Amino acid sequence: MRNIWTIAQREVKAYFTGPVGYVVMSCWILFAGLIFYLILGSPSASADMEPLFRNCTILLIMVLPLLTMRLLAGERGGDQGVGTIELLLTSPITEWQLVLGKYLASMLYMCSLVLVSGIYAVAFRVLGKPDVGKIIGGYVGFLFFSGYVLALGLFFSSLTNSQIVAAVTTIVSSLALWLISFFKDNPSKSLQFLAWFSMLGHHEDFWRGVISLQEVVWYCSAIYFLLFASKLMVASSRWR
Amino acid sequence: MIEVQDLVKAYGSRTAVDHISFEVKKGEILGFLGPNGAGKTTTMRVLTCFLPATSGKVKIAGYDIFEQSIEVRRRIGYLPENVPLYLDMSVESYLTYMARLNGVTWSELSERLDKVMDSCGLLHRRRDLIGHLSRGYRQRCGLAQALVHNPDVLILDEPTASLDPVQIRDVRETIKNLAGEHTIILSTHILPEVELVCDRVLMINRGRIVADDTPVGLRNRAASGALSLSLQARGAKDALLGALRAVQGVSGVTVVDGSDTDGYNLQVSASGDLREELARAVVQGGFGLRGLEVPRRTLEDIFVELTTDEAGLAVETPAEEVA
Repeated sequence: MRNIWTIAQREVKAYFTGPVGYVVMSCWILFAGLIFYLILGSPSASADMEPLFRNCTILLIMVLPLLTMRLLAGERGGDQGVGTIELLLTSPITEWQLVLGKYLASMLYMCSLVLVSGIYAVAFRVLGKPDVGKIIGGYVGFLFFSGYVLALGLFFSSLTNSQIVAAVTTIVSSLALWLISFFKDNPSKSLQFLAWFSMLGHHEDFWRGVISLQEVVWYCSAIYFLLFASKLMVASSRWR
Repeated sequence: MIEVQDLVKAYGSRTAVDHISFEVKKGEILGFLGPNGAGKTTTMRVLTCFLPATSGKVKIAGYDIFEQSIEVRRRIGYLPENVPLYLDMSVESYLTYMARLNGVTWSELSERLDKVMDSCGLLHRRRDLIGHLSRGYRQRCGLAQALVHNPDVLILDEPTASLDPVQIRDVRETIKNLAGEHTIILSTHILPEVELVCDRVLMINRGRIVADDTPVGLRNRAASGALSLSLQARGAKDALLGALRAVQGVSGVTVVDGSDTDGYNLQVSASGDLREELARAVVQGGFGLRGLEVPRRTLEDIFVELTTDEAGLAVETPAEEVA
């Protein structure tokens, strides 16, 4: 546990002191603010945050991979040539601790993004009479959704030495998963089954203010699977 | 402290380390010597649990590197060849991070940091970003990182590479001061370094050990046996050569250059160090003795001989065969 925290601490510090963290934070504030403004400014505006959540998930797909691209690819050092993975793998820490520490750091930074967007919830509360349950559900859904994208990003970061490749593959595969989610109303059973794998079909319940066990389990298993795959990839760098 | 038995590491069909066995006692400084690609770095990577061995057994401080890898890693400080550093961190925060990862508690931390930064000459740069440091300071940072948790075993891959002469001297001093308390393996291809720092030398070439001795032992091995002495003397050529050939133990004399008036440069092949006998022969023959010396064979010569030898297995071969 201590090792996980040590690793997470360093990464969180790096987010707050390095350029990537600021770029992600400014993109998030700028575009989420823009979406919020456009929604409130529309003639049919209501005290409902669902359209905001819906649009922000796409925004998250674009910015979250920027947080994870460095985590493992940067340790391998293709871009900078530092190769610090050698230090980590010869330190008395397990591969699980390494992967979990990195993941925890990206989750913590993501939470700070979500926290900033809390100002919109406050604005809704002040200006209208929103359904508080739906807002809470929406934020919980946000956390699970982001958790999934971050785990996916960490996995792609474990595959390559290049941070750029890690970011691009994460964004592309997230977008692919997003498109797959449109199959869920397709008459074909196999396409419906495919859509089940997309993280986008699984947080609609949260937006309605329902925290369903089924979806929580889906997200947790998907995240576990991705982290486990990342751990295997880290371990494999010993014999690759 | 370190026991290596029949270690083999193959990358696909290429065998980088080929049945190496050696032991290092506690407090000893072992120099790992060999040309590029000899298998030094691979061996070190196996010892530090970074790469798994193909076969063989390695025990460090009584722990098996395969089965008790975490225990082994706790006791090892490792400076990899490429000196991995986080360029976006300050010296102090980097060392803190490495110390925490290696199990240094908060209560010991500041004392360890001060000690290690002091011994590596980093105290006045502690707040600087590593990305702003020169190559030499980065190297020191890497060394400090290996020392920060006070490990029993230090494994240093070319610790003095890319340093200037003053820094090299400092780092060597630091390493020498660490001996006794720590067991150290360092790799290098700088030969004088081995003589200055190490208690024992392990020469490896193409993944095999070609010599395992003390630096002095290697030098003595070179000094004993057949020698080629160089001699400068003036006098009539034929008489001079005759006088020298008459000395017992001399197997041949060749003229390098010179003339009767200016004297001759000669090479005398002898079965040992025959300087007194040769001097007597020259003087008693009425010739002018101008110079006589045994060319000092350095570790360089032995190194080149052992590592360029195709058979590469000259461990048991007495030096006279190669001299």
